[in-house]
Amino acid sequence: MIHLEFNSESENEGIARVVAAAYMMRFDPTVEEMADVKTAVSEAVTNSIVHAYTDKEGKIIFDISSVENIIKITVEDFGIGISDIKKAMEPMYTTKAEEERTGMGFSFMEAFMDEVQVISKPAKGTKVIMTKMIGGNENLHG
Amino acid sequence: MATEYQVENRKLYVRLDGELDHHLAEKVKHQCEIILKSYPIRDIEFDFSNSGFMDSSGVGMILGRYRQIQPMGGNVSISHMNDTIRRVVHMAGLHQIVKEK
Repeated sequence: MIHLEFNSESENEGIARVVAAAYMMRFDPTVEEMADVKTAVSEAVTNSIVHAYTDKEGKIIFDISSVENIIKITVEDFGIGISDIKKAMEPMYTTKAEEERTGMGFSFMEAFMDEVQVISKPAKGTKVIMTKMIGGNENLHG
Repeated sequence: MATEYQVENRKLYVRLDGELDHHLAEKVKHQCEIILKSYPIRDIEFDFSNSGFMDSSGVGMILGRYRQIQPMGGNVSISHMNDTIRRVVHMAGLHQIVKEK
């Protein structure tokens, strides 16, 4: 497994994607699976930077592990938290439209991963747990 | 290399360099705003020849530029998308308002 802790700086979004992509290589992913995971990671980490900490600096914990060919990615912050998770996950819902946020972050995570779980507590932080089977289609066909 | 900006016949060409995430989107937004204030721009084209990735922050930035120039009759186009970017563009519904080249 991989356990990383980094500051909520936007440069680190790319680092999180690269680490996830490198970890996935052992499962011989397709180009599409690679893009799926990179996008989901990018959305989760960006949420922590943009929403959880806004302009403050804070810590983000990024874990990747796997059981057989199912990878599990956890992105955790200790920021403002989400009071209404259901609402936050609604497509196109955003609290920051003026900052050109689309409200598509959670929708992308759900579209690109097999499962997305969000645990949050206002003023405590948010934890996003995502899983995805890599090479699943190939197994089905063959 | 860095993202390049070129103005030609009231059209701004943005040749993206790198993954269009929140980090790069903020930079591109800022640069576009400076250029839009200084030049009479009608259309914007985002060229993805040197970018193989975009997330919802990139979508938001492109939508934001569309909203800026559309009231003046301008268009936004996207060129040289790979399959990964095209998929995100379609999932977000961006293809309904910007031209794909």
